[in-house]
Amino acid sequence: MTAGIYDEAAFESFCGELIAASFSPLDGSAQRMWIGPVPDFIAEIAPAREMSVWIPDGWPVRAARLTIPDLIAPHVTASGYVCLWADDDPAQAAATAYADVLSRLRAWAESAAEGFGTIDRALDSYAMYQDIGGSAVELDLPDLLGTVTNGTTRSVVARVKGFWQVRPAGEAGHEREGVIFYRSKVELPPRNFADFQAALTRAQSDNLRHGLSRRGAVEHGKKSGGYDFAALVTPKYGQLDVTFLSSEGAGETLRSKSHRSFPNDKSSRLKRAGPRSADLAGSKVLVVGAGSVGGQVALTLAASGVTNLSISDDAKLRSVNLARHVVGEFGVGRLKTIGLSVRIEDAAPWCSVEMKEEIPWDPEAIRVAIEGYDLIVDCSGVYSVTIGLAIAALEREIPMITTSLYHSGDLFRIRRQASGDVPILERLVGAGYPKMPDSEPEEFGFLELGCTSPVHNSPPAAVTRAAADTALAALDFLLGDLRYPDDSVTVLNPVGGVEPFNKRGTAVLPVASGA
Amino acid sequence: MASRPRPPASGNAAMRAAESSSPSFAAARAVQKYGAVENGGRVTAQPRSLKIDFASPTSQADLSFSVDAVPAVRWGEHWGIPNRRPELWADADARWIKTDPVEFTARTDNLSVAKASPTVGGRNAYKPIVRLLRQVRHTHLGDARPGGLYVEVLAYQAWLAGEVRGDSWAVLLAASLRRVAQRMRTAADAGVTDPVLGTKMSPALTADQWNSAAERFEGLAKIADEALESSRCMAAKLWRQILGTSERGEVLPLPPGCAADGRPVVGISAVTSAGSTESRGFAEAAPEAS
Repeated sequence: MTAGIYDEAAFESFCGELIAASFSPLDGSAQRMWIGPVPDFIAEIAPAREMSVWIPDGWPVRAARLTIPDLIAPHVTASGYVCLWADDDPAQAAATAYADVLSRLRAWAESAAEGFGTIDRALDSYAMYQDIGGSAVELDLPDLLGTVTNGTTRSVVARVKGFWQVRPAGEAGHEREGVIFYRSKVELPPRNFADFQAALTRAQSDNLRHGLSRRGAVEHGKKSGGYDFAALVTPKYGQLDVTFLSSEGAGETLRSKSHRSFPNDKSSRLKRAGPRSADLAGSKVLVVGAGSVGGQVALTLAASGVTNLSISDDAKLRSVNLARHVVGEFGVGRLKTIGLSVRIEDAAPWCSVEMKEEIPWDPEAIRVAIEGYDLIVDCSGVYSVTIGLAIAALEREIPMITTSLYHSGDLFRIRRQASGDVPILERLVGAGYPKMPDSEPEEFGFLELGCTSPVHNSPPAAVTRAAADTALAALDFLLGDLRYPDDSVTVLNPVGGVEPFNKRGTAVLPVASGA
Repeated sequence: MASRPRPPASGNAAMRAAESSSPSFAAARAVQKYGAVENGGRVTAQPRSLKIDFASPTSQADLSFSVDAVPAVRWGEHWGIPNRRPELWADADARWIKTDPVEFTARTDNLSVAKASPTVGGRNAYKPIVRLLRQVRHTHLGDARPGGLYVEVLAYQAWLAGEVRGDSWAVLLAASLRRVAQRMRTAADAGVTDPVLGTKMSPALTADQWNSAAERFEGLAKIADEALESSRCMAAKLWRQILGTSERGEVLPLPPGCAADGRPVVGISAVTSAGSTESRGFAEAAPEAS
């Protein structure tokens, strides 16, 4: 097999088409780099008469790459590489003929002449720079910039931990010194350091010159004594685009590279919460039980946009919990609720977490404990707690979802008790709610030193599946969709010969009579 | 019989004019113009010719080529070219080799339009098959003798004699390989007769050279016969083994759905379940880290 190529026959056919189009392979490139004439429609907009076609590893799942020297236009890097497809665009796999690539190039050329569409927008100024570094930078621009005007300059600091992490000046542990320049308009992204300087105001340019003059000659990412980095920020498509440069050397030997930037402000992070996260703002949810299921559910609800979360549990995280729990080793020896609050703060800074003690047994105390919530999610896995919550929630008309794993994780059942649903205590065997199968004694769990009862041994995948489905059911309710049934049992591994437990899949309860 | 060519007498204006327009004079001018390789130029002196290199300025292998300029003089109605062994040039009878590439070309042209020649899809197959034979010779014999002209002459003789029959490129190439191999065996004892002059072609090859080449072509003919009996993909693999590569890669591209080792495969490009074939927007630039 030709190294790096998935479809040799198509590859050789593609090479044949290149030859027919007057391309020639570069010596020693194993037919992967070709030089040939630019098509007529490119000759009209670029001075080059030749271009290169590079066939990358993974072809044809990754399409051929075109480089046209001295072509200055959107979606073209400083080296002339024309970005025809995103790396993850599956459509590029269809470009198995040179004509397909040319067709896409023609579409690009037409867009370059007539204007790109919304779908073509990209914050990719960094890629236009002549020297691109392999690192990246994280910036909370709203926090770092504050209120800006054309010409705003902000002194900032950074640390390099995996990539550049920029913080406001004075932040401890961030020893790299740098600056952010804001310009309200930059015609073309800088392609070299002279362009970068030219895009600045006079004051900004002086600032940059002074900061760089204090540098010692160090490598990229090292502390130089002067500016170690500089960023040019400008509005683009209603957002902020960044050209972030790190430097090496000093004076005459000063060299700079641009790096890809990523936002880490709260609103950018909230976009990862899903398109309906805003609809969850203000919702108040109590998660009972902070174990492997409850922890996963709490984290998922918070990450999805829930802004007020209470978590009830008195247990402390032990090392043996780590295999199934979302909290890492840092939480061992602490209350699980504390570990979860830290974890949620990292993942969903928009969510406020209240840590609560274990749900009491006294019915009146339960009623008080659940007051004011939009939803209770019971992940306690303790029958008596579920019953107490179901009674109190029914009385107080507070919606509730409860989930339990059975038979060592072969099954799990999710029940909702909300307005219009059959009360949990009325879901009787005779009414189409089957008795959940008992675990065999040897299957139920295992003993550990210090425990008086067997440890529930549902495997992590079953726990994660149950937690994910529980979170989906909770979000379904909170968003008012109510597409989930009020009672269902999911069979991961069929058990016995009684329906619905003998078939893999999810059964909605109650089952039809006679089933 | 035409007399042997003689060098022009110096001091004669008419001969000087002839000399200045002769191929050998043109070659001398080429040396003067392009310079010798040992002086940084592009001309390499060979036993009876000058090789002029035309290197590609962009390292594109297939755009680099060289031309062998062989001086030729009229010899009656034919041509004379220098013997490739300069030590024989002192011998007037051995200095020049009679040849007639112009007439040979005319005769092959006739064969390439002759109704008796096999065709493939209505196209006379002679010249394409000869080109493939020369490619096969280049791949498997390289700089060893016999050279391409000898193989072409043997193929010409076989085709002229009606020894090659068939109606597909594969069958015709397989038959041509076998017939050329047989004629190589014969040539080991009898040499090769120039189809135009009717004399033995020179410089002659040794019997070992002919037998070695014959053995190679016989082996290739066997592989070709196996390819004729093989599945589509395995046949492609075998033909690729026979035809080899050029500066632009494999001479025979793989047919769709075949791997280079002869296995049938599902082409990745035929898999449509990977995602939409509708392109998204023009991309964010891929990182080109340095």
